Amino acid sequence: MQLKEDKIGGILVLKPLDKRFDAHSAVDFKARMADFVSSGHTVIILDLSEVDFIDSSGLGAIVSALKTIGRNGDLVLCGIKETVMSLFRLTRMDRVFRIFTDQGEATAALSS
Amino acid sequence: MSRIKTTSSIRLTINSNLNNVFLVGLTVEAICSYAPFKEVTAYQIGTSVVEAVNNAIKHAYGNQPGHQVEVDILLNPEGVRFEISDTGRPMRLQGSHKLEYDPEDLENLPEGGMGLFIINQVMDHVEYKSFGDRNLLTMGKYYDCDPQVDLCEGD
Repeated sequence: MQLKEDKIGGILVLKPLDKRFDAHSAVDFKARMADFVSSGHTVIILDLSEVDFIDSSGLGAIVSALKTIGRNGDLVLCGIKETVMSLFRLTRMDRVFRIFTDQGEATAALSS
Repeated sequence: MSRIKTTSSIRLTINSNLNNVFLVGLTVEAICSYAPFKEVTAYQIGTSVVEAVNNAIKHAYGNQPGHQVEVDILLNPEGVRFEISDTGRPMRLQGSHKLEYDPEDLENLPEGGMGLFIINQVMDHVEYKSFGDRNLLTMGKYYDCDPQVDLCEGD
């Protein structure tokens, strides 16, 4: 999976550039997220604005990243399209993650 | 919006490799976008078929490439039906359609097992059968827009 990386202060902003976040890309994403966390990045914004499709494996990979970060860090989401958001609602994952409209809103929330 | 007066069908066959599943997903989403479904419904149907094909590859074939997964798509005047078949190991589906968890309980959040829940939530009809060396998952969804009008409320 192609991931665009940015740092804003102590926050790591990750933006998947692939349109589809599925069972094929989920394995690589999980490994990459584990690497980011083990190298000390525990406050992460995941910007999903380029993602048109996510399946349960993609959702599971994001949950896995949240668990890897644990309670000593934060993983928030932003930029989720309405169709993709419908899957978060269906699986109640919209109640698990803090979800923001865009990177600016997410950064402000994590910086406050 | 199209008006579908007869039954049309197409068969997609892919090799059992997760790399190929997006081709099925894109095709199903395009067909369901043409049919009288709301945009979110068309998307969720596409997701359901992807989940079904993922399950066939992961569980029936144990992630081994070189086998076939067939997806028959039948578009009729009332709705759409999918028949997903494989010749791998039959699946146990009992209890798999539930997704119960506490969103606050970080350690026990589900990382898997959501595919069949999604399928059962989205589709109006789901049936799984094994006969001979073949497993067949049939899923149906009625249109949620009026096939006789060009605009769909909620889109």
